[in-house]
Amino acid sequence: MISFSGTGTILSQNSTQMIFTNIATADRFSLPLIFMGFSITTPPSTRSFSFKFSTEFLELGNVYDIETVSQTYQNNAGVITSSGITVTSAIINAVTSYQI
Amino acid sequence: MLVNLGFIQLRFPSSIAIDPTAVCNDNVTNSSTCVINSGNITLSINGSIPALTSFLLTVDKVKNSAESTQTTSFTIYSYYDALYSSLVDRLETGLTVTMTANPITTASVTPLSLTTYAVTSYTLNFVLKDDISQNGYI
Repeated sequence: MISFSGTGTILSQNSTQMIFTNIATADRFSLPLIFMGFSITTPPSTRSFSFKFSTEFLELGNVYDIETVSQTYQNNAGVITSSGITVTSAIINAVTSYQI
Repeated sequence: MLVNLGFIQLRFPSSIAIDPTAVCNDNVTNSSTCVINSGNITLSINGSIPALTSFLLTVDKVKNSAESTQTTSFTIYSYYDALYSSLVDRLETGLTVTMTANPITTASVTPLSLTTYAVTSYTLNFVLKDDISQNGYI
């Protein structure tokens, strides 16, 4: 039976943490599933962005890395709509002006 | 939305040529820079452009293609900042132009004989308005 408690803190965009304390000795080998939800504004372009999740072990003021996973995302480009092209003259070889 | 240093790139089909001295301008960004490089037009944004802005880009001294067929599609891309990795919106299909053939107006037919049932020869005289490339035909 897992019976520890956790406290989540959003310190900044690059530092969001959840600390679990009072983990019982019996739970040291358990595999907890942790769900975290974030409401974010995605970037204004298709440039990729990533999330990095790390688990660390804190003991007596020391921090030990356990696991790290990074996930990269990329937005889809938007669709430009056009009402068409207006050509002053559509005759072949004509030197003309285009409005798009 | 595009911000300062963002840009819009418009590519003409390869069958359409733009004169190197051509000028392009738009109805939105009076102070932006429009550069024409072969069939590529790059409109660099000076200031920001909000979403749903309707653009009208005018390019002069454009030479139509040499065939009366539908061109491939013009393409339009917008970029959020000065780097190509910041693609925002795009249009890659469906924006085409269909050229119209030039009418041959100077033409005449001269039969050697106008007599009914005569077996005769005809002379057709006409002037082409446009070049015909190698392997073209009449």
